[in-house]
Amino acid sequence: MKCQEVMEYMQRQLDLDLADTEQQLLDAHLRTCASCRVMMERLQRLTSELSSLPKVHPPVSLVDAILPKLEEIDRARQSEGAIRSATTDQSAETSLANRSNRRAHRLSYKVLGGVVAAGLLLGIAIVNLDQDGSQRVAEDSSAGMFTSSQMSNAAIMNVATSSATGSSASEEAEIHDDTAELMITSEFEVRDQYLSPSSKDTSADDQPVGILAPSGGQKQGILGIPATGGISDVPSIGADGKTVILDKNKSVSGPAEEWNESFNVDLEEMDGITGGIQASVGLASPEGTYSVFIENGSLVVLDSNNERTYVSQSFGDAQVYGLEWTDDSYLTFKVLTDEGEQVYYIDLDKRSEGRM
Amino acid sequence: MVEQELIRSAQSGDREAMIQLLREIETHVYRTAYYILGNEQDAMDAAQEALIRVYTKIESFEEKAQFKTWVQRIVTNICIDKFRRNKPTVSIDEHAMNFTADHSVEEEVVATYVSQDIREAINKLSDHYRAVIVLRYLQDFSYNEISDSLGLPLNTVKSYLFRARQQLQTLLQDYQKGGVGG
Repeated sequence: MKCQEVMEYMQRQLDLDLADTEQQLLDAHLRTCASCRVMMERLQRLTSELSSLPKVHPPVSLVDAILPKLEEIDRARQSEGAIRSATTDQSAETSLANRSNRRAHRLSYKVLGGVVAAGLLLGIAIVNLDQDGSQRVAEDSSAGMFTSSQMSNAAIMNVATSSATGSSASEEAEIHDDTAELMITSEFEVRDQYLSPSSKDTSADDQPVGILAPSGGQKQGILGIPATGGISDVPSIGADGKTVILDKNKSVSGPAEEWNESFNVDLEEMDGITGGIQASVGLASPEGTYSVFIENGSLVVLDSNNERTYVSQSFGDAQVYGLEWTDDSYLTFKVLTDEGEQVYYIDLDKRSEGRM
Repeated sequence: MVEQELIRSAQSGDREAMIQLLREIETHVYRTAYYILGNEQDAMDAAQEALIRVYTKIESFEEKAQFKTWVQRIVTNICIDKFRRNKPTVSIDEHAMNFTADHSVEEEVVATYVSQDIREAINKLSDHYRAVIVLRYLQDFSYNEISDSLGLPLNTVKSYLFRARQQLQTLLQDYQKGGVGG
């Protein structure tokens, strides 16, 4: 048993996750390997210290502190309910085309308390790429539901901003003054890993946090790209309307400097706009040693010299998405097959890949 | 453990039940926020925001999930969002974290890490590693419960936890040697 393999056993032992036979293997190795024995002691000490961290308590009752806000929320809900019913007809719903043979995905963007902030929200839907070249722009100035569905050959960029001075009681809990959210969707729902660093979330409160990107975020990103499309480019919506811009610094008004983390955009089923996607992508690893893109159903990894250093197995027509660098040489991604979603990895140190 | 009946009452609009529910979870919520954010004031803010969110979203909770993981999902979401906006993480050379067997026994100094060192080390972890550590050791969550809370695959949870512990022990070794710190 190699020391490297023993490390996992040691780690699992800390969580009491070893089977008896595995425990015996570990014990046998530790009896003969002083270095691993020392490491085991270190990890056990660490675990002991972590378990002994003070179980802190809030210095004052948090519930008591928020009671006034809860009452405000209750009042806002009541008034919101009344006004919402009156504004139902004005809720924005953009239907751009109907492709019956496609799944209709829906992005619901609900802004509670937005009655007061209605005038402050700007939803811009930049749409192009219909085969006839028409471009539709939907502007939503209501605070109700913003829904894009049944889109065809289109990507929508919806930039919703609210005033930095928004201060109504009703928006206290749901809208945040520095909200600037970028949403891009194309006949699919924005996945729950979608993160807008500056958003405090108006819709995904109970969604997984989606912390998929490792540290050092500047160079990271999470992309979901159809394996079938052979897309290896950075989507962008340019002035020509033919491209979809993901460059936050250029396309989003708001605290661009805060966009220092990855955001997750699903580009599955964007094959209809393949022709509009230009510029090279490559999801860079945290340290920038590698970058990866999808080509003909395979993941292609480039090294720092832009040389192909690894090409994965081909996943054919299956959708490949959720690319994520766990560290600088370890990549995980998801593949949607008939059997459902599978998580795969590529370990560039070991030059290996497989299903997790 | 929060009683299911209390949750149901809260979901049905019983405000007293809702308040009682919030009181029962506030310490757990604060504790996670405190260790993810690293200071009391931010933890207070985040925990209050999380409680408000629980209050406004309780109707969306489904009993097929564990209430405690649902709550922790909310608070970690908020904390990581705050964390990402406010605190850059320290990039740690992953290669340095790889275990190597070249340490001589003589180099090892058995010493007790002081709590402050561990807190500092935790603060140097990336946000997701820290969240996994906090859920594992401050909430006593299992792999599966961490997976549910963070919406991560089980193997990813293990990977993060193992790497986080490796990084922590390396950081603490460095503290002992006086190499990192402050």
